[in-house]
Amino acid sequence: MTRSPIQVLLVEDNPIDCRLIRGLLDEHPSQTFSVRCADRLQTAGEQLRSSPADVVLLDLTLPDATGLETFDLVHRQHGHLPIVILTGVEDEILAATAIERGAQDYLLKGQVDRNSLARALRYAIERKRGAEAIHRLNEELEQRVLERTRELTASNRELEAFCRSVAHDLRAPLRAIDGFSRALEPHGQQLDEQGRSYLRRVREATRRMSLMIDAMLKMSSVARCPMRRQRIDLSALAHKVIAELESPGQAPPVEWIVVDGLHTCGDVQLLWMVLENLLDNACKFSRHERYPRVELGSSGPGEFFVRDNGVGFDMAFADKLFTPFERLHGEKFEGIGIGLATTERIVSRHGGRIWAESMPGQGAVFHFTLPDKSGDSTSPRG
Amino acid sequence: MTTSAPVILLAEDDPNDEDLIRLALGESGLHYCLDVVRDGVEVIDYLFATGVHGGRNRSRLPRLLLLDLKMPRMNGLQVLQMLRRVRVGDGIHLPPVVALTSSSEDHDINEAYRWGAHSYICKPVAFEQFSRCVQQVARYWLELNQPPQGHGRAEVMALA
Repeated sequence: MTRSPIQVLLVEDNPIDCRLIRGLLDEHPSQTFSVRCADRLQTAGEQLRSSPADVVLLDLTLPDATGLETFDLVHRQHGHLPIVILTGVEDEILAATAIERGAQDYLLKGQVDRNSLARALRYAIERKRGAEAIHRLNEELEQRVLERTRELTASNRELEAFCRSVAHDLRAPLRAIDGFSRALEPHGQQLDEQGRSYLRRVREATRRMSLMIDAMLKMSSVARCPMRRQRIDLSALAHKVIAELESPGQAPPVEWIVVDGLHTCGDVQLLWMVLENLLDNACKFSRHERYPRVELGSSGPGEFFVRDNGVGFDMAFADKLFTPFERLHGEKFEGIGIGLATTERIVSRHGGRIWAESMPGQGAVFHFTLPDKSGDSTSPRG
Repeated sequence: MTTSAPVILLAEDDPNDEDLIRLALGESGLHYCLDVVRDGVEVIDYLFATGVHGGRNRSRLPRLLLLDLKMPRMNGLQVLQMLRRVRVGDGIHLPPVVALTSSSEDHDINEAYRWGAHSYICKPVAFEQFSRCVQQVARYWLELNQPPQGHGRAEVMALA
């Protein structure tokens, strides 16, 4: 079996060792080796630049470098070349470190014969070739992933822009329906009570659809808007939200319990919406209780909860809570079913998660985590 | 309606919105005259008495332009850009422009102001709010606001 000659660069300053190794390789029966010698690192570098080699056989003790540094210098310059270390120093730790850093083999002078040396060089070349191929494939794969991600991001953005534009366009016919229904009202005498009731229902339906469109646009913008993270006193923020939620003369009055000193890091406008949605929900679903109570607290670092003593829900539907336009309680409670979906988006943009626990009639607890990451801002989700 | 009634120019391609604006203004008790154009090209033709509005009396300039942004042929933002180029010319008085549109996108709002809109209003869906909005805008620009001297009578030069 004939093979093309393997180009070996032997970096070795001892002329006797040089001759010995050359002798071993020259005698090999089935493989031709073409051996060049360099007696120092600098010469080796020059030789490699002028004509390539298939493999480098490297002594670690040279006039211009010693130890693993010798290997590192060659490896850094010629990372694609398989390097086999051939040294007189028997040191297992050194050997292991050399392999770890990318050497193909660590051979001891005096312990190699014709066959084992030839085999070591051939295997080194093959192994390196395999490793390079894997490396190349990985790089290609990464490149492909990057391209796909870019494509997906672009098409997501396009889709989102399209949805927003449609949402805006839907307002025009809706405005016409509402406006002309209103214009009919003065002609109400010509309608019977049922007719007038239909007219009212048309307007009520437009109002709801308009709310849904607004909420959809809002939900889409919480995913896109730039986020400015800062330290936030969540307790203080909650008190402000509550002040806005409270309507005077509300009966029965809600007992608000806000644990003091809750801090986190996040976007204050987005977290305002989180608290607003959760506290408003808690309030809404405990409104029919005799003593409605809503509580904001913490169950651990970066973990918060909003608890109420309201109607609660069946855990069988827990996964539907955060889906847009899913409502568990029908018409008994006002709402269009998008507050929790929006909340979930905001919490996950902060790197946290949200989940709920409840039993019918036993109140509900909404837990959410907000990892306390510092940093000034993050870019909008792509 | 007498000829001296201030003119509101409405650029609106949707006849429904046109009628709703008429309803709203009709309830306002304001003294006005409403002229309607259907797209951006027509806005320019109207203001400079060219094209289909070639025969228009150029000295009768609108006191207010209500500008929809999404229109065929030339959209509202393009109209604003074009008027912006003209505004810098001497002695040319153009009406204040109120963008009146369905869009509440930040991009549209910012662009409209960047190109010189005097005001930006997102048309509410509920008629009562819509009506109040249109009436307030009209009342502000027609009654409250004092236009520059000679406005509404100045001879407008053709687009350079």
